[in-house]
Amino acid sequence: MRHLDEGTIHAWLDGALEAGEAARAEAHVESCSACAEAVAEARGLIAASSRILLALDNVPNVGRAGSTGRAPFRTTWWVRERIAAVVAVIVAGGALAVLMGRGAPRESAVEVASEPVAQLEVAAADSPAPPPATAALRGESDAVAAPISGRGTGAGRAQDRDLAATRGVDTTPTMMALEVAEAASPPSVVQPQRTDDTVRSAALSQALAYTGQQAAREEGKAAAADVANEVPRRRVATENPSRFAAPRPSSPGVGGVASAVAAAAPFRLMQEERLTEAGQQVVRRIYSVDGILVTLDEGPPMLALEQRRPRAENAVPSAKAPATPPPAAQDSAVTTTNTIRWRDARGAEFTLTGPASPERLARIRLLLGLE
Amino acid sequence: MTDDVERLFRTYNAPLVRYLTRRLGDRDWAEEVAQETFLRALRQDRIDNERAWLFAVATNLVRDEARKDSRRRRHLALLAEQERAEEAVEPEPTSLERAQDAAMARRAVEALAERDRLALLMREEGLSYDEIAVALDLSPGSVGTTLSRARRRLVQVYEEQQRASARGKHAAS
Repeated sequence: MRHLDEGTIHAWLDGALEAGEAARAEAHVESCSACAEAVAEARGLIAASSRILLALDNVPNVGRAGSTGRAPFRTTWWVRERIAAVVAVIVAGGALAVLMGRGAPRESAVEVASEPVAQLEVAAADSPAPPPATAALRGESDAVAAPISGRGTGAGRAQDRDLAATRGVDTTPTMMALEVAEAASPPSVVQPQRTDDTVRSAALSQALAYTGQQAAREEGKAAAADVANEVPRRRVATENPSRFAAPRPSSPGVGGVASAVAAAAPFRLMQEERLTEAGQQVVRRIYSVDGILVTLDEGPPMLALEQRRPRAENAVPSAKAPATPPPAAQDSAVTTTNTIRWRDARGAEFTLTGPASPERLARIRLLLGLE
Repeated sequence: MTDDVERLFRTYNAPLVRYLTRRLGDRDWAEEVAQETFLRALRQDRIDNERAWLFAVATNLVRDEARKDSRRRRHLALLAEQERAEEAVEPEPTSLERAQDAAMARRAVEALAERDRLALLMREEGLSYDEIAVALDLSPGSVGTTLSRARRRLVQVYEEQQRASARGKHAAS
């Protein structure tokens, strides 16, 4: 068989080849190291592209007059509605954080990178401004019952809030307050929700993942540029293990897990390599699972993150919280390449990418024995 | 189509707005275009491949408007992002990095050929190869090549900027 061309490789990885073609491609790649290399590279490009495009969603100061030469912010009904939705999300987030603090499952730590709607936020966006406790309950039950309900603008906005939350503790409330102020609502609507828990829940995985990635990237950049004194402060902080959440006793590393499950393993490790991506050391493993190929990227353990410190019991992700796959309702969504991200107890960032729904990826993650 | 539009909106508004925001660098503008797209759906008797249709119509709306003042708009979007990057001050290193990241990502996306860019952004919103082919009037067989070219170029330009930024910091220190 001829070597695979790049377009075919991408089509294969995107799950866009017909079964027969896909099988031929897989067979060829198994016997051809050049093509296996090309596949690994394409995997990297796909994952990196998604990450880069994610940065484009960071469009702060929406509607600020003159920011892009657009007309000044108009406070129309749908804008007000969106703001109500944002407030509802904050309320729900705060209450949810409280629940989570009590040991409820932490599957929100699974970040769904590319599917349209984050379920909780959508559900929350539907409820104008319920009191905290009911908001959380509604948020959860609605998420199960009606994953794609909610007003679209509210949902889009909710995702924004999500992204905004990744900016960290300080900026998020400011942005919220700004938005609310723009709608001439009293900022106090937002204030009571600005608890540590709110921040922690929002930050739980995404914020940590993001800032962590930044820090690591920064470190990598410095190393690449051979600037010994550029980020000494950060380096020290990063390497100080005492600031780091203690590894869970039951939290095995990837390798250990793989062998632990190996006996009945319905997956196969196709390839493993170490590489530097965007200045970050990454271990990339490609598994064949359930008829598809998935890529698991494991970042270096790290964490000198302020958010991570707050309280011991919260700093360590719950051991009894294997990510429960979100409701099956969205499984019917058209399959495309998706990525889920999470961190393990050591703070190593994992991304799992493959031509499967986020829910299926979450199941594959469990299958691979990764918490 | 009237009854369906609400469902369409609920299902596709979020991805459509995100797609448009990534394309345009301006959320308000993106939301306007998305709303216009759904209005057009309302006037449509029947839509076969709805996702492909919506993305194609939104893309055409952008294209039509962009013809008028594309360069100025794109330039403004870029300026706005740079301004945000510069505005972010010391106490918020994270947000500074994020703003820089966004500006680099924006430049990388702008470096792509229009068709490659659109195909990639559509793919990121979950469109299948067939849907992308329909929306962009490509042959289905060429979508993989289009995407591979787009991804390679995107990552390349982005990483070049990262290296340049690292050198800049090095020179400054």
